[in-house]
Amino acid sequence: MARTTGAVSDPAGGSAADVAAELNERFWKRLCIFAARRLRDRSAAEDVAQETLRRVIEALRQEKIEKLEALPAFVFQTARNICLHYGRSARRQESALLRFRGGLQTSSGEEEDPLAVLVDEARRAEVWEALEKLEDDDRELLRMLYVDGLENAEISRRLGVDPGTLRVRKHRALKRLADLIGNVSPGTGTQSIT
Amino acid sequence: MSQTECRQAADDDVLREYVAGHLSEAAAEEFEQHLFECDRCAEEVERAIEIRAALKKRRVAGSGWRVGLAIAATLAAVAFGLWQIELRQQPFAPPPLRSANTREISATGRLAGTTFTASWNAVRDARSYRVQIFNAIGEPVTWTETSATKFSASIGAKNSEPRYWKVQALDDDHIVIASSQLMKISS
Repeated sequence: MARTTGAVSDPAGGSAADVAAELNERFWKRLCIFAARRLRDRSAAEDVAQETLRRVIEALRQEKIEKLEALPAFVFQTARNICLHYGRSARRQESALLRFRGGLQTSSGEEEDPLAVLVDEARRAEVWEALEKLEDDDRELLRMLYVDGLENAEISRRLGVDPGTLRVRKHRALKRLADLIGNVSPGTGTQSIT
Repeated sequence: MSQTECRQAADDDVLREYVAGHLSEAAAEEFEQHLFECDRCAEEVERAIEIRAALKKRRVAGSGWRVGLAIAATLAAVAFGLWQIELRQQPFAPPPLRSANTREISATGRLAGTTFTASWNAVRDARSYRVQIFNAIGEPVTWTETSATKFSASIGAKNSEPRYWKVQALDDDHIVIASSQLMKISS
């Protein structure tokens, strides 16, 4: 006996599909980020995201969420509970063991960055191709911001600029990068975190 | 939260510390709660993750043969160590723990007109199966759960966008214990 939660054979038709699509569009990437930080595994993160959305849709159908303003908090709490469940499961233990081995086997430092699992090789290459086309100053600024993890005050001090100027420079560098990414591989789309 | 009111995005130290994994667990969770409400911060985080991943990868790739040699030597030592540990532990090792990574479902599917039909082998300990359909960029568009080992449904008119599917086996706790490969839906 099939139990349908999506739109494939939902007798309610379009509206359920619309809700699912809207929830996907709004929360999918956030859920993957949320879960990836905890589980350090892309597949597991996607499983959590999917299960969260399924439960949220069910809750909406059963009118358990009274105000739509409460939806983000409900999604957050649902995802949190599912991640905690993962934490208690035997599967998590095995994943931890696999990660332990995997981390030792590559030890590139990348595994220390749990959110990096969400960016596939093709996207990294695409973003890097755009970064290479930036002026050196822009690229170095982005490196200080996103890799070295320096605070704005420290970057201002190093560059000898005030915080307002730093904000403008950062904004311009990101704008140029976004323009370049838009020009990379035209026609293939620039799917980000998948 | 209004996008113009967001202080996190305007002064993004916290946002970047979150992406770099430098926040305490409590602070990270507080920021995540905000993330679910703030579209602007969600976009900023996504962008930061991508830039960080791209720059870090390049730094690792460009770090030279000495580092490569050192890593290779470390790997060899670690691999030997793990092999030794495994040899010692094997006789007393517990049964394999469940994991989607270690169990694969053999499945087939076919599109006839607008009807997609799929079937798969039963998985031990599976309570139900979740059939998922994905769009061309890998985002799930819908899913269905069933206790049977077959599935058939109309998935709409053919269009130029390719679609993909997979089936997962779920246990009593709704945990994925096995999964098929991701397959393209075709006639």
